[in-house]
Amino acid sequence: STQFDTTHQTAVQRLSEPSQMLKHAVVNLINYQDDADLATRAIPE
Amino acid sequence: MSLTIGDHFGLKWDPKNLEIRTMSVEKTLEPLVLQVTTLVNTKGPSKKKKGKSKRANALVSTVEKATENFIEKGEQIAYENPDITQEMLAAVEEVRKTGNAMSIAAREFSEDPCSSLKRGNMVRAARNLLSAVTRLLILADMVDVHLLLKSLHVVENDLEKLKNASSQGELIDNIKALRQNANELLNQAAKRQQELKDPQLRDDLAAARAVLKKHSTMLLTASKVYVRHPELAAAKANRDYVLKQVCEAVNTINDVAQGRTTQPSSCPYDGPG
Repeated sequence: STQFDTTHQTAVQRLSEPSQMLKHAVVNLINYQDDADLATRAIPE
Repeated sequence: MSLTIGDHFGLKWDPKNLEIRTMSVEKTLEPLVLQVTTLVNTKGPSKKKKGKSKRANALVSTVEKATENFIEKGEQIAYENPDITQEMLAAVEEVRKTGNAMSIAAREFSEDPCSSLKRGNMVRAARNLLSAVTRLLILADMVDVHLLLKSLHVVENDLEKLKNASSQGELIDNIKALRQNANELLNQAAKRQQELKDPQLRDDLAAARAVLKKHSTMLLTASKVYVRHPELAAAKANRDYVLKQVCEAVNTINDVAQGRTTQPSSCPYDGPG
């Protein structure tokens, strides 16, 4: 058959998850501005 | 002066002109590149629900931890691959450097989240960090190609030894080694096939794998007959034909690994796959 071993990850596969986590962390931090914007707009009211 | 892996594959790092060939890299990079562009270009308020973010300090810590985790994995891969350790470590160092800059910019932003200047600084730092991450991912892809090619060269040597075998004992030993090494190569080629974006390259690789797998027994039989009856022209022709097929399959794997599409033949449907 042409089945193959999937237990050993390639180098890219090993880095894939940590890089996704990092990206999400960065995006979450930058989205924090949204709340800051909201607070700025809410104050005059 | 020793050649770097980049020199070896004729690749130069140019972030403006990147050709992404594998699914994993694309899957990881596409959102990264998209996000960075979006973050830099964002003008109006986002459509995300408001009031749900955690405290800024916690978010900064998460970025720092995620960077550290990514660096750790990158270093592990670097030390596991002595041929490419230096390039990988240099890329890891770049991630560390841009990560530190990001950390400083993020902390300044977290103390004054309404400052668009500080936000701008942080976005720029994020872009640099994600660009360094991208570079490391591409190097990791090159590591995978490098390992595949290493495995391929071992099989090429085995085939050469098999071709020159003059006794049944020698032949059996060579076939045993070839089978073991070819299995390793088939495994790595299968992973590459799964990863490749280009359907033409995927098909080429699938066909080459099939030939390599199916011709293994035929190669043993044909070689046995040839070693026993070297005087028979038909035995030699038969062995040579099977060997040629296997060598061509190995060459195809080599071409695909390096991103070269095989030349289209006069009849595109000729041959397996």
